[in-house]
Amino acid sequence: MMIDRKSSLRRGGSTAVRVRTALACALVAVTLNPRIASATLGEDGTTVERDRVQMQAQRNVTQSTAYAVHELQLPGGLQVHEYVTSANKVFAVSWNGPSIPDLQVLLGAHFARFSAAAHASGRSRAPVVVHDADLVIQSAGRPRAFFGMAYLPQQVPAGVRVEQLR
Amino acid sequence: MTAVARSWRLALFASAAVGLCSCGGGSSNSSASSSASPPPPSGPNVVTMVVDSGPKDSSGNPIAAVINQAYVTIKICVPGSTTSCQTLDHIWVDTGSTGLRLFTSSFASSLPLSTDGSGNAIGSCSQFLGAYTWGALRSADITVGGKTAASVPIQVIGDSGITTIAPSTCSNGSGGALQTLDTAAAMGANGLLGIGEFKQDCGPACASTTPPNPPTGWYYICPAGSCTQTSLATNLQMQNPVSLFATDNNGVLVQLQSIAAGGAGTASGYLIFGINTQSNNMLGSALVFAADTNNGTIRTTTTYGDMSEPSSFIDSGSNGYFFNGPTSLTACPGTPPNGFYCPSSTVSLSATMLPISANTPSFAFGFNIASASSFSSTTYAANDLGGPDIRNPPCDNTNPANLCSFDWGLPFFYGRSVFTAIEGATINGNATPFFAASTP
Repeated sequence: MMIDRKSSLRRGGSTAVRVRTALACALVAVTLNPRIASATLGEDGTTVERDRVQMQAQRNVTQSTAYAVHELQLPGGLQVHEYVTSANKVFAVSWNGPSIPDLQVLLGAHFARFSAAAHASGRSRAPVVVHDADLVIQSAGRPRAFFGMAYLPQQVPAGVRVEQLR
Repeated sequence: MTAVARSWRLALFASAAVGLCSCGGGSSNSSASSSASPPPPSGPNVVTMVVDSGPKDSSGNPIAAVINQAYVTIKICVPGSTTSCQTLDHIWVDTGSTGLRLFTSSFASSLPLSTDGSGNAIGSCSQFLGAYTWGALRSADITVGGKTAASVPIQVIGDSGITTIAPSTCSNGSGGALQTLDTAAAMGANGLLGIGEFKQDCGPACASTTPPNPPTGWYYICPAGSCTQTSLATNLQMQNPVSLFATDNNGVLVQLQSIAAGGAGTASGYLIFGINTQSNNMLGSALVFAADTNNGTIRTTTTYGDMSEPSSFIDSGSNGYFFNGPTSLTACPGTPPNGFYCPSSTVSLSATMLPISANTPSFAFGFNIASASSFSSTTYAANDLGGPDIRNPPCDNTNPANLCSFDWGLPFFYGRSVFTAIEGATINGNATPFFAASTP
């Protein structure tokens, strides 16, 4: 209820400006870093390397029976984990640290649903949660202590419990 | 309950909220607090707070109407000036962030712009889960009540001194995944006063000039047009104004009046500067919960939901309790969900607060969660509003994929004394940062 009142007001912003913003940023991105493309969740495991470059991270890979964990150490204590199936698909990503990593890079095609949830929430300071049958995204914490996770329930390898991912 | 409902208005004039009976009880217990029936706090370290409908338009209508936001009035001045000043009402009191964030105006543009050694403007970003703020750093003298902090770096949102388009590492994606809090209507306030546990918003991590470099999403150098990420010395970063006061500078005490179940149109209370520095800000019998020195979190345990939340915090800037409750706490309907709980009837719960790395003190604070859809459109203060956090059992603070939090938002503050102690001090034998709260 308070949500509706707030978001309806928020829609007063200029769509034109938003479109120009997107275009400008896309151009900058292409100019500065041609290796950026779409990203990772649900995509090929090789996109992890693209994320590593984009996020200026160090990468460490741990292999278990059902999946591999690519641990990315970003500048300033940010940590990203990408979980890759034996069929080389990223089925989950998690993050934690003093700020929120660029989720457009991490979530790829699934980013739009995160964005919709973030904008639908009338609470700028509360967790952003998407719980759909094919996609779970959860983002919580506060400045200096953010964390979150996103995964594709239908792509989780058999026998793997998401809450036990490390 | 009617007696309680009536009594809160009296409380507004008669006393601070400390030690008043909680909404569910019929009797007050004078032994629980060192200040059961105190006179209203007064002095230069006290300023009144209000929880109401927020900033209004020229017709007197609320421009945002957000529930559970607490406000104070502040004065900002051009550094060193006593005449080039502006008074701003409805500044959101936030014990969960650091620094003053305002919107651009002709006055704000008259404040000196912060620059790096090469004369470039500095862009400041702060992320708040679903939202972010982006603006230029300028400096101002900030007066709250009788206390003044001089030449404080502040963030001016929408400032023409830098591009108004936030970098994607701030906004989370080039289209802006997060909401931009770039107007008073979007923020529900004329500014944000961050007076949390830290002296700077980012702190030493953002000052690093050698690898590992600063984290993304905080500071940027902005020569004409575009901004690139930078490190920034701690003294140039956004500062907690309280820590720059000459005295009463080690933290804050918030005392909001009790309110009845079902909420109230408004609520009031006090923001008191300093902890154990004056007779009006003594810890007394409040329980002290030591916090993590890097990120300020404490712990919470429950018998439901996540069971153990090692990344918990008390935050006046969150408008509800955000946590994972029992299954009886159903989320409000809607796609995407609005993020609140809508149980069919009010649910009474408790959750146990603990220090970050010790088992004492521990205290099970009781609270209620009512349906978010049950509040009237003129209810702006509610002690029984909550919503789900991310669901991630089992929580494990050694596993970066499985962190969990319990966010004790503004509902926790009603009828209670809540202390937020700033890092780098020892108060009554307790190292800071910490949170402290009166019981019940």
